[in-house]
Amino acid sequence: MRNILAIFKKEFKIYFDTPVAYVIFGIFSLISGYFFLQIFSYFQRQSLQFLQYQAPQMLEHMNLNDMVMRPLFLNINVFFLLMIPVITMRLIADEKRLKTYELLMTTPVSTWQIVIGKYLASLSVILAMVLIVFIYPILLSFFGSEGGLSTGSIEWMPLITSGLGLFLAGAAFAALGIFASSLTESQIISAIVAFGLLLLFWVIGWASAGAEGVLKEVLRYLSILEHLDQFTKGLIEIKDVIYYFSVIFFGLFLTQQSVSSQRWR
Amino acid sequence: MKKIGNIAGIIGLFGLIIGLFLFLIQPETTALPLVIMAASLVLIIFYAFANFQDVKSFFAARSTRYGTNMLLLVIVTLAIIAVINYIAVRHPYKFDLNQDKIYSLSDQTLKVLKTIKSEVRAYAFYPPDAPETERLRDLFENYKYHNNLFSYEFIDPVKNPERVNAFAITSTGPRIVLKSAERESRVKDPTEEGLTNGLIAVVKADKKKIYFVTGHGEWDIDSKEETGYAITADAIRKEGIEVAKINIGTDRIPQDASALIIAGPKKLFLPEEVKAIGDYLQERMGRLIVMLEPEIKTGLEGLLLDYGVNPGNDFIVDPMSRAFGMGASIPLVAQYSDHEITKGFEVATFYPTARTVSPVQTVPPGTSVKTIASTTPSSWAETDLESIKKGEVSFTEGADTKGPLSIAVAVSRKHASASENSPDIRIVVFGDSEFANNKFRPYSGNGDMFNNSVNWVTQREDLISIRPKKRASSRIFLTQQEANIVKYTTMIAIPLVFFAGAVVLTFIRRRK
Amino acid sequence: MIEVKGLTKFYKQIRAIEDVSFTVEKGDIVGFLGPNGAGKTTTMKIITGFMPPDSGTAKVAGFDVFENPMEVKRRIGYLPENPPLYNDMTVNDYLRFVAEIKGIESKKIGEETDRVSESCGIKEVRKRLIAHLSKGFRQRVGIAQAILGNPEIVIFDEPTIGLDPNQVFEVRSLIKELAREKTIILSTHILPEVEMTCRKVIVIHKGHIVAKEHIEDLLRRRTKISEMTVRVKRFSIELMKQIKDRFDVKVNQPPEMDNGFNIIFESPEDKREEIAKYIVDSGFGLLEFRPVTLSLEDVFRELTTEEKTA
Ligand SMILES: Nc1ncnc2c1ncn2[C@@H]1O[C@H](COP(=O)(O)OP(=O)(O)OP(=O)(O)O)[C@@H](O)[C@H]1O
Ligand SMILES: [Mg+2]
Repeated sequence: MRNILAIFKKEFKIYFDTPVAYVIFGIFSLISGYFFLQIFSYFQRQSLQFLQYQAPQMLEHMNLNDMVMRPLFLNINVFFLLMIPVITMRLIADEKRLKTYELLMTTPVSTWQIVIGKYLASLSVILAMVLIVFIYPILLSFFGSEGGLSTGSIEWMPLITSGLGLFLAGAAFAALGIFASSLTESQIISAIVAFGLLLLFWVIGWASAGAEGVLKEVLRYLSILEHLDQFTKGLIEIKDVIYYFSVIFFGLFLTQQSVSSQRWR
Repeated sequence: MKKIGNIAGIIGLFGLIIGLFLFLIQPETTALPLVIMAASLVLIIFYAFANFQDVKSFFAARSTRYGTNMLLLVIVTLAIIAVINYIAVRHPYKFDLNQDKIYSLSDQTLKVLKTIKSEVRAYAFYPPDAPETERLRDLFENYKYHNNLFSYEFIDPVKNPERVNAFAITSTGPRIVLKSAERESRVKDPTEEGLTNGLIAVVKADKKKIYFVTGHGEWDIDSKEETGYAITADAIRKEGIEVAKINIGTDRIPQDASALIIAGPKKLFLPEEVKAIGDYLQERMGRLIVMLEPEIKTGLEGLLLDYGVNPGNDFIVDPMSRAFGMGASIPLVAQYSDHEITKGFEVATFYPTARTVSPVQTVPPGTSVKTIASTTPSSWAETDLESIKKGEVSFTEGADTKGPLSIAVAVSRKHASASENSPDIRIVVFGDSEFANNKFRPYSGNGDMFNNSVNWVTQREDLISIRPKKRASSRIFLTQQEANIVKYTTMIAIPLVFFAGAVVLTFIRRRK
Repeated sequence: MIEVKGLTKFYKQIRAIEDVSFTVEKGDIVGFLGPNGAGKTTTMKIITGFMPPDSGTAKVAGFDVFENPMEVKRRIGYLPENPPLYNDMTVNDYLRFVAEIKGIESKKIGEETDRVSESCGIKEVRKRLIAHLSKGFRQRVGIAQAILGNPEIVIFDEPTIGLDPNQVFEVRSLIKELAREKTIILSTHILPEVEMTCRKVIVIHKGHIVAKEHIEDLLRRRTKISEMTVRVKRFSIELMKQIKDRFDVKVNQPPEMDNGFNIIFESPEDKREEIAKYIVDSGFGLLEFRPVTLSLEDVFRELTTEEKTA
């Protein structure tokens, strides 16, 4: 436990004491802000149109949760595929490059402790990114109360489940990312491999569209982007949670195996 | 030797991967991937042979031992994970954290689902990108969640024409088939209401049976000739409905009759027969399809008038049909009402030699009479029947009525005392009887028109109605100023804070 | 304390070490001597448990490195060939981190990092980023890291590389200091370093151990009294000739030497005194008269040929 904490603290410091995390957050907030603004202004225009054409029943369909926040979370999920390999790429590859790997491997820390400590540090970055997404609905909640045209407000529970889902999705991506990082000395290669792995899990989803029957269901289930869907609707399904935890566990397990293979390879 | 061996090994490895890939993605099994894999295997064996020493020491090394251990461990872990996931999928559990529980099923549906005691499978013929698919999948998942005897399958109609045929699915007919071991029902409306009613039909209703009335020169359901109805009857059988004949002059209308069909009688019905039909309708909440022909008096006119249907003494002429390669005596219908039978109908139907049938001015109380199909504006109802025989028709102002003309009506009536959910009397009347015969049935939407009518009249379940749930609206209108604040905060302020942080940190670190 | 038996390691086809065996007693300070590519680093990586051997065993304090790595790692401080430093950390953060993963009690971490910073002379750079340190200071931080937590055994891979002469001197004295209570292995390809710091030496060449001996033996081997170098103020071929004839020895003049020559004694008889006297008396102006010292390469040549003949 102490060792995990020590490794975690060190990785956390490297993320947050160097510009790395802030550059990542900057890029992320730029992209997610762009997504948000696009979706939101479309929503805004549509509402105004229905208002102008006096289509109250259409206006009744407008819902911030379903039509703004949900697509936003789903888009960010896809963007995470690109972003998370960048976060995890240095975790182990850089130790090898800097030869600090020799330090880690010759001090009395177990490989599990190394892997988990590093992984948790990358989760802290991902958590921060998920929190950044919450800035947008909070910002909106300050506005629109005047004029009487706005009705209802954002429902927070579905947002919280979406956030949880996005975090779990990010955590699953990161588990594959850290595994990729354990395979090579080069951060670039590590990021490419991680992206390739994630892409593979994504493509499985496309393949399911062409398949039939049981295979279709299995492929759909394996697809890494499918499982956020229910979360964004405010539904927490045990099987989605289990899926994410399975990917996380398996990714970390492979990483641990890959790191400890140094001992006998 | 060794060099060639190495090359062979690499090619073999790639071949194996490609072969496996082809094997997995090919739609049907062909020999090619197997051949590729076999050839690759040979190459790999050659590689092993050429590098015999290396391979031998490889298998002797400690790293190989540990490597295989690791591989086994990975496989076992994977298997355990797979089992856990399988269990999680089979025993779904979920929390709906929405205020209005919009993704949860209504109480009525839950009640119906509780009554399901044997397996029911839904076959939904929608392509993956159809707008209904996502919502429908959610619904199915929800049904499954509450009763795992329910299962479902999406079938892409474009990719599986053979299954489309096997299930007799058409573009305008119902696209969801619910099937239990003994029964099936079809659902047109991909909503919770539609599905739940379909489920009730599968679980509760007896097998449907329709009777074609004979004895007045009606079209023969056993005849394979052009004017026969054999193909039509088969199509109905495919939907799980039994088809039989009945002579109501000699036999009573059986208890198991879901509906009567009178297809193109040429002779007068006897008054007793008309009374038998009337009683059947009135007392047993009967169902009836009547398909008339111009000029022919059937004796059913009075009964039909009782139900608010007026068969016109005329003949529909439509010059526009020529544009479709038909004679002017085959009017074309491209305009349908929003009735359940014709909902979403988008194709034309053709009615060779037809008369108008229309709702009467003042319909009897408790009765709803609706035109479901109308001819084109270019058509008219010719009242001078003699001119037709001469072949010199023309529109006569005053005497003839200009289109659109009502060519089919649907009637439903409820007894005054009946409760909301109790069954009603249903009648469909067509001004033509040939549109559904062996020859004309395949034309455009003709077959569907007939099948939909049969489905509608045979529906007898205690239908329930479920109001679709929807999220309460939440919308927001920003003033220009507020919109600007949102814009500049998200696109400039927030990223700027982070980038500034990065820059400051870089400078601080440079000093360290 | 350290017991190595029959270690062999191949990198793909390249043989790094083969059948390396030696033991190091508790309290020994052993120099691991060999030219570039001899296999020093490889051997050390195996002893520290960083890398497995292809065959052979290594035991540290009675624990097999492969079977019981944790016990071994707890007892070893290791300075790898490249000091394992995180460029993005300050020296202080780095030392604290290493102290933590070495399992040093939280309370003692401050004290312990102070101690090593003191003894490695890195106090003034503790707040600085490692990325901004000079090569020598990086090396010192690496050494500090290795002795953090007072391990029983310290393994240094080329500890003085990249240091200026003063620092080299300091590090050597530091090592000598440490040697009082610890078992130390240090690798180097600088012969004098071994002479100055070690009590024992293990010489490795092309993956094979060619000598294991006390430092005095090596010194003896290094300075061959059977061969002397003479330098004079006024050199002439005549002098070489006279000495050759008079004392019955061989002489030769290496090409780079223009005011002197070597004398090789063929009989065990010690004629140095007479020769010196003769040169001085003959008025050539004796500048230098000393035993030939062998270069490291010569020692190896010596050792390897000796092994062949033996
Ligand atoms: N990772 C590696 N891959 C392939 N060969 C290697 C690797 N590391 C070392 N070698 C080879 O193994 C041999 C021994 O290397 P090692 O690093 O142990 O030598 P060394 O005695 O430490 O040399 P130096 O004084 O230069 O540090 C060398 O021939 C080297 O080329
Ligand atoms: Mg070395």
